[in-house]
Amino acid sequence: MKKILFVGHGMHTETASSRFFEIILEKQFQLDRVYLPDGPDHPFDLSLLERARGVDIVVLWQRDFLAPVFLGMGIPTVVIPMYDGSALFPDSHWLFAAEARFANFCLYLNERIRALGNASHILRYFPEPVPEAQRVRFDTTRPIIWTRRPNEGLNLQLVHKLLGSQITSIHVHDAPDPGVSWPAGCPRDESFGYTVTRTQWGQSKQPYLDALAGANVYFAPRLAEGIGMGFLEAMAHGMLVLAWDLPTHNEYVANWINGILYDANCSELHLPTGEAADRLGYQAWRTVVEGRKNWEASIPAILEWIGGTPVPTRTLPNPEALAVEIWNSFFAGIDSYNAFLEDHGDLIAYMSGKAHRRVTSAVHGEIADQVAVKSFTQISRDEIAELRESGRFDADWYIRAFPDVALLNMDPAAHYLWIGKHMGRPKRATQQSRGAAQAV
Amino acid sequence: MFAKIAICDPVCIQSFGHNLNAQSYYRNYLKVFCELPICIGSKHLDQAVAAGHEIHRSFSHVYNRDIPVLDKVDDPLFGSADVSRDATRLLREDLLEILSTFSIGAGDALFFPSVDFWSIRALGHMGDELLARGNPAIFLRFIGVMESADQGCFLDAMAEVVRCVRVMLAEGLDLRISAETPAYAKHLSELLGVRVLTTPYPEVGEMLPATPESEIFRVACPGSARGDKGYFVLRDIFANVRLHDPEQRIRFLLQRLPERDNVHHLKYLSQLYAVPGVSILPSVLDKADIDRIYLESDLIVLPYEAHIYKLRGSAVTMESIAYGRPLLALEGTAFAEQISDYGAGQVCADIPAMVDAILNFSRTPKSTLQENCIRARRDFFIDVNASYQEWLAA
Repeated sequence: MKKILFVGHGMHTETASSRFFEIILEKQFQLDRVYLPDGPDHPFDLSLLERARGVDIVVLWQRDFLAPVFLGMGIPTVVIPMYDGSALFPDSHWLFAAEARFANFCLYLNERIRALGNASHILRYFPEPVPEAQRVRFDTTRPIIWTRRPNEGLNLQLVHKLLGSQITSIHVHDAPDPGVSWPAGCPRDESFGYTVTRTQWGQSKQPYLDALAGANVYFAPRLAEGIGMGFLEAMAHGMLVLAWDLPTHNEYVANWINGILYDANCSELHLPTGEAADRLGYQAWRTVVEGRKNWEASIPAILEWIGGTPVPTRTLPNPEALAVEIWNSFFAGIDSYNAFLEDHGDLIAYMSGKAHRRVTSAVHGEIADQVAVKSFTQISRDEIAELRESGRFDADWYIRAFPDVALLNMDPAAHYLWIGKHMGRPKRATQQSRGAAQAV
Repeated sequence: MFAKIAICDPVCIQSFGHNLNAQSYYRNYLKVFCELPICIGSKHLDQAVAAGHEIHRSFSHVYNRDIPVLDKVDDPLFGSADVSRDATRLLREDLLEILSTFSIGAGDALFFPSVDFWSIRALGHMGDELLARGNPAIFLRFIGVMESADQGCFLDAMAEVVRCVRVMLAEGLDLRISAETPAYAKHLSELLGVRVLTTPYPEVGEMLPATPESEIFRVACPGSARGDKGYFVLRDIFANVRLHDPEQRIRFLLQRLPERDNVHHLKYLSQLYAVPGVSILPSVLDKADIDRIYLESDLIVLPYEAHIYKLRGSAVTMESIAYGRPLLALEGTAFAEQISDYGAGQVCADIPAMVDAILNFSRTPKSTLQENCIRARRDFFIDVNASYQEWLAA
């Protein structure tokens, strides 16, 4: 039985949102789990790399930015990104993990990643539907909203804008996500003329669950989702789901068929009631009934996809240094991470097998040139010695001119033979090379 | 009976699609009309694919601007100062080589299953050589795709085609012309002033068994991966059917756009994907996958744009009739006439009518659909075979 190191997100120890997938993996693999807390308060734990060396496959759940590290160690790597966390990353982020296999719960990400030439498999999760007799009814209209992200506009003010006096009451689960603050100019306790019942997180989740069980109109609480357990569970109960028109909502909700999508252009919504609402709710429930069958039927193919992840061919001499650098730049913010990617175009070119210019101007669907770069292990000592002794290579200048050499902790002559010459880098400072060094 | 028929297609360069399929179809069918059918495609057709399909690789690729499969260094027309002269010259040279290599002469034939512009022009410039070789018959089958692909060299490509055809006729060449649909045959006949027969695909396969009676009704849109084939109306069709089929009995299968187009239409793809009961396949499928689509589908839907397909046929239509699957098409397409004339399905005035038709077909017993398909198939191929008998008479 192959062994997998499952690398998840620290918050999943509380939410357990990856648990269903771990259970699936355990059908066929032996699992070693680690849930990484977010930096920068938590520096990267290098012992993780030692644990990775003892497994057959690394599976990264939402930690896609770490993929190059494990690929650089020569470990087959599966990446399971989430739209809500990774949608804004540039193409170079995905190209950096070109030798990984991707498993996507989001069609949009799946297609983007595939278009770059990466191997990606679409997953379409559905929860268990309730029995039809337990499907919610629409004798009255009973909406619920969990204000997880009031700062993103998903609050009672929005409900009032969209629905106005079409509803008279609503349940608000007043529990913003950790770190999320209530926006200025939007009174938290304002009821907008509705009869509002409220819950908050306490010692038990039961008050929220009871309120949810009594509702039949569900406002999806976030603009976008990675999978969307909340709204999927609502559909599984046959609720009328109202969701922002972004993935993954708009990959499960067909507008006015099995739910309702809205966006910033929507100034009001005519909320269906009674029979009309029941039709939408029924379609939502039916979608989950059929979808669940397809999800369960797809599991063997998913396991085969993961189990067949190939061994990467483009390895790195010092993945530890890369791991620390990537971790720190990622948690310093999106600008820092983007700058890191821009500064390491040559490394990404190597890891992706694509020409440098293709990495920096990656265009969907284009067939990129392959750079025939040897693995660094194929560079012989004789070649390195010959270059050093030739008198044509200035090692001190090279290491000063190209900071990524120090990052990789490599002999500068070895670096030049491995990748530098393919990037057109000069061997020493000349009139032209001073300009070239500045350009790259 | 001809001795040899060279089935020529310079556009047979990709490892998928109707050009490749047509080579196989005609190699099998023309055995009745000759002793030796010879399939000839592009020099750049994949070697393994060519070997598997018994296709000789002879033609230069002069259509790289339309079908960009070659790098610039390999494109024989890259940098050409006179594309018309060079493309004509290249295909003329290729055809002369073919005549020589395969000893094509009196009692033989050149057969173009989907004739292309530069082949017509080349033929129009080699009358002397053809006559010297005993005037082999030349069969030009027009399907409305590449015969006007002149890469902008002429103000009116079809006018140049007409001119070349008239030159060939005037030179006394044994030229025989057909078109894929009745509408196109009539149009060409008026344009060229000669008799033009209608030659859809011949029988391309056996009638498939009926799909089993079940609750599920499968609707397929094979080859949907293009805007002119109705890709962008599929969401409306599927969504409206779904509104009237809350039990989700009716299931849909389509092919997404090619990668270079797909990434620009991801929002639309998501909308298709979200409609319950829709399955989306890649834009390119191998023959086994396409065969399975026909085997498992109850209805084939082709919402092709009428103004583009006013004269053009549809390979899917001909295949569906051969395999025994009912069809829906929009009014105004040339193949709609064939569907209507032979009772091979239903022609719909617009998208709402197409939605209604899908619902009606889904309520029709599958045995009834099968009986209709058997009858349509029989009548269609009686006429098709008669047409080919007349056209290919030696």
